Amino acid sequence: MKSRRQHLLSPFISAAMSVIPGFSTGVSTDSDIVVDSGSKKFTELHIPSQSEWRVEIPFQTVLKLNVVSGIAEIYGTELPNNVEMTFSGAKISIYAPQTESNTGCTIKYTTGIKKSNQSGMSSGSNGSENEITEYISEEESSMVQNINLHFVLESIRQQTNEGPRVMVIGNSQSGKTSLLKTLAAYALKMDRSPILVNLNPQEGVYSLPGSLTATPISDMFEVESTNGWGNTTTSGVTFHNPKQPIVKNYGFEKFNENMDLYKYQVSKLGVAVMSRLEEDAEVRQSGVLVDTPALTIKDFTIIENIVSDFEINMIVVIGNERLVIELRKKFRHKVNNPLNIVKLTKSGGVVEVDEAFVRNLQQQTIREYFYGTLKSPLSPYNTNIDFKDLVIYKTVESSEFNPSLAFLPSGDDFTPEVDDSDMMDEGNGNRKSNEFSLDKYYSKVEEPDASLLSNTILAITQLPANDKSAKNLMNTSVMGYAYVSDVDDAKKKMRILLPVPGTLPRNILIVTGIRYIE
Amino acid sequence: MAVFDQNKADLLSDFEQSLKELTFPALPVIENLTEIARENTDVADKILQLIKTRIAKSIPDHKLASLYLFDSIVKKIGPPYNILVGDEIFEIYSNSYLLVNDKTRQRLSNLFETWKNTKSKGSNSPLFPRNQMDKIERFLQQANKSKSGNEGDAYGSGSGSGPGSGFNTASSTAPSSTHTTPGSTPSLPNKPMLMDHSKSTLTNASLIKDIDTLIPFSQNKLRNNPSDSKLQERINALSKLRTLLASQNMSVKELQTIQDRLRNIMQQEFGSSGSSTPTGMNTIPVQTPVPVVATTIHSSLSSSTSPSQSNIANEFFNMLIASGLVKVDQSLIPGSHPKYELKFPRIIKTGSVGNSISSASNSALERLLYGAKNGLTGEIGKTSSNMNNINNNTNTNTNGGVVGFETLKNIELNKLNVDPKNLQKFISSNKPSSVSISLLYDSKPSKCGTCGKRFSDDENGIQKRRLHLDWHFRVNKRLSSNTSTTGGKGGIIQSRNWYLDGYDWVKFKDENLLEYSTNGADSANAMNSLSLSSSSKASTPTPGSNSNNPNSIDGLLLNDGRVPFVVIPTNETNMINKCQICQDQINATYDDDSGEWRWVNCIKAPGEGKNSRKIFHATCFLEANKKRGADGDLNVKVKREKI
Repeated sequence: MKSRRQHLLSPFISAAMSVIPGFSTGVSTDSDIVVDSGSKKFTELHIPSQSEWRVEIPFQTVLKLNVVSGIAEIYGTELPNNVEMTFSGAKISIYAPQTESNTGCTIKYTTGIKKSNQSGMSSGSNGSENEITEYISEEESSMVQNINLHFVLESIRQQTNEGPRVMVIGNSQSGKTSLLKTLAAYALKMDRSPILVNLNPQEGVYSLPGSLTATPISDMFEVESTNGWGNTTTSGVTFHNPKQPIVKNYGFEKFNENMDLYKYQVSKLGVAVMSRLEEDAEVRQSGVLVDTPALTIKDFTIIENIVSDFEINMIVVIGNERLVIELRKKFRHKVNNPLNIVKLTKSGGVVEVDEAFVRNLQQQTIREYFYGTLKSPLSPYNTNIDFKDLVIYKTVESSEFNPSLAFLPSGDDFTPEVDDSDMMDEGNGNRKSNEFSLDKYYSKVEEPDASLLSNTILAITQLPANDKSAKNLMNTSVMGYAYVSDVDDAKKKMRILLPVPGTLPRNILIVTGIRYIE
Repeated sequence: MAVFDQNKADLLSDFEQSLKELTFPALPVIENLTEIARENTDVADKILQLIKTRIAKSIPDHKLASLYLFDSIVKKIGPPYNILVGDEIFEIYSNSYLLVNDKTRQRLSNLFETWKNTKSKGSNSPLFPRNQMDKIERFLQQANKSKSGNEGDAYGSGSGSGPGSGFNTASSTAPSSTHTTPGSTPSLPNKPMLMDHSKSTLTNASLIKDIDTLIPFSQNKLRNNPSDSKLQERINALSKLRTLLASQNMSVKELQTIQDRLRNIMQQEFGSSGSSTPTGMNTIPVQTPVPVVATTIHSSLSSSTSPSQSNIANEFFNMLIASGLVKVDQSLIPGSHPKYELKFPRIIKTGSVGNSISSASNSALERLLYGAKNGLTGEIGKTSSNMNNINNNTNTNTNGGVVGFETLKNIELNKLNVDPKNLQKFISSNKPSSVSISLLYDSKPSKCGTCGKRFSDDENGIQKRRLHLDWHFRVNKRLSSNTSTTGGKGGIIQSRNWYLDGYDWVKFKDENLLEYSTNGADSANAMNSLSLSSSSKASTPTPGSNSNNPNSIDGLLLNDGRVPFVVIPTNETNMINKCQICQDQINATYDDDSGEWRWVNCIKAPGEGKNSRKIFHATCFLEANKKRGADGDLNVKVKREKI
């Protein structure tokens, strides 16, 4: 087992792994990996029942972990016993669930420093920066309420033919995503496969930051991968079963950078999810779990939109009593069409994450998209393409857009057209009054250049070549992402990194506001 | 002695031949063979020997026919047949019972019921010796219990007085009443209905028997735990139900419904006794005291039950009425006796969360039955026409005395009793019991050593676990062979796929991603080699076939969507074959459309002749091929039998 994993080192990921002497046997050591001689020994640790071991692992540090005995889980996903797991650049919490014996669990771990000239991220490796921070929670874990919530959801699934459609709201870093991971992992243990919807563009869930995704959780999360999500499908086999998301482009990491586009894409994602529920009895009976960016009562129109787009019937508010009360007031009219609003207390284990950590995580997410995980490494493909073959759009930032229109009350200004006949004539300006206008969302890039494209992530749309319909552009989903590594303005060419070998399958691209440095 | 009449020898070999052809209970054949047996009582021992051999050796699906023949002979002819076989009857019966499927088991237990009431032809002595019959009776009780999730020792603890008394009551009340008035209960057959496949042979008596197994068990439990008033209530309620059954004729459908409820009460009873926690005992929370509806009930029921019974029993019966499960028909004339009828809701309301779980009008009993139903289906809203299906589900779930995970989960969830009107309270203040928490962990006891995924011990779980481990093995092999051939670092391994577009994603089924799929991208190559050589009209891969292929868990489909099979040569006498790889037995199935016997899900060994018996499970073959494929490409030409 161990030696097999050692073989898997991909050119890049290998950097993320340090070899601990005495841990791997007789495997050639990669030159990129330098062993931190200071931490050869395993520390054994007992986590009492219903306690959490919270640990923050910097990006330069590798934590190797073995569950020696008992049951240990990370956000609901149970860890295998006596299997070495590797974590880096993560803040995790290992929970020892309450069991018959109530003995908790025992783990052993060791840390190492990865020293890599490829990593390109945080440069300093001086002492304390690379130390892990770890402690065992003292206060009562908030897991009990999560378990209760899980049983509520499961009894709804049991009683009705339709799974609950749950939306989680809370401040930034209040534990929304961790809660949803736990709920999805528990649902999985009940043989369900709920759809996990991510509407927080800051995090890429089975995709890159800047995207909005919906993914049926039909198998376990891969806790070792970035943010603990895992792989989507690949051309070969993966160590874990992959997931299959649908991806909508938004292009920014904050939902309010272009509210119109955000709302439009949320509603389109909602349509896709609702259609999937109709088609797929298994996910219909499992329900939908919606993750959101940090929304407050000021963003009520967005909350209202999400509730109607995803036919939400339960809102879970984390750690914000006031928001609960205000939402109950505002949603009074939904009494006949049950909308439960419940609150959970915020877990004491939620840690403030600084900006740099978020950036690093995003970079790691993007890298994982192209290069895969440690257990399932992938090989992306570099290619050169001419600008002339491409139709490039870019997402419009609200501030760039005509301010007189931006003042319209949000939520009222946008009605998706039912009319499918698209009369827009490119560059002609001759439009019917009821015609769909792209202005608020995307603008066409006539003269692409290095200043716009360098180091950006391009969303490759599913549109067939030369589809000029604005409506179609708005409604399409993302086929994949490309990374622009180099732009040659003189030759009108650029070098891009594609996840899939071969030529670019589509020629309509959208420049996102997401950047990546390899 | 050794000189044997040639005629008799011919007769016996003819008889043997006819027996072999008796694969289903064909009335003319059985009648004919019975006549032969009647005319040749001088070779009764030989004939019996042939029948016994046939019963023992034939495949399970064919056993019923031979048993019916056996039954016909002992009933219609009687001595010397029933005397000769008397001491072996338990062995014959139990051996067959253990091998057949649940449907046949039901028939067998009906058969046994008829034996109890049949006298040996021309005499007043029982058909079979009493000790043998008692043995079967106990055997059946045990089988029923283990089927309903008993964990073995529960039977042991209840066996002191339980089964004995259960047997006595069963034979003294229900069957005797039907015996004296045979015309009034046509549903209790005196002999098995030979040609009747479709109609259920469920009877009042068999349900009474079920109750009789449940009552002693509960009584025993009560003895250990005398303070448990709920147990007492349940016992009383059960005896009421029993009285009702003994005195009323029910339609088959109604009986079946009752049976289903009973099974689930059993399941709850035995299921909760299996878990060691004392909280598990409170399976029926009786909360709402139901107003007494009719005072006349007592008078009508007290005639059949002991007067010492407390009014808790009445209350329970009233609950039955209040919940609409028992219909009271009383004419308006004062003093007339009310008539009772059992009613079960055909469809349980599929309300929204708001009103479905426990609205105030639901009695505790309804909730119990409701829960029991959910326990069967895992979802509600099924009509009673699905009952048979559901039954099968339970049976497979509970095979081998293991309560299915679904059942366990639903029982537990019902116990939690989440109030949809006040979810907040539940979330903030519920203290989850260790039983409910164990749903997330120990209820699926086998944990994968590689990834930590859990599997239940029921049939479904075992099957999934097997596929899961196979999949790990395959993936590991593939992953390690990839890196070793490319030298580890720098080798092109694999890359991410494009995301699906909206339409494909909506149509996509995630089962295609899972290890239970035998038809993923992983097995695509092997599948192609199978299907390409399968027929001249080579199947063209459908667009997007990498993700959208149909698949099934226990079988596997060719690319054109057909299940592979091997047609059994017409001259083949032994219909049972085995897979050369896994050595599992493969039974023949009959295909109505083509009129052929087939070994389904199988393929013939490559290069074997038309009449070869060497076959593989298609899945086994694929698996083996894959494993070889990892070591080096081995292009095996596979021939698949064409119609």
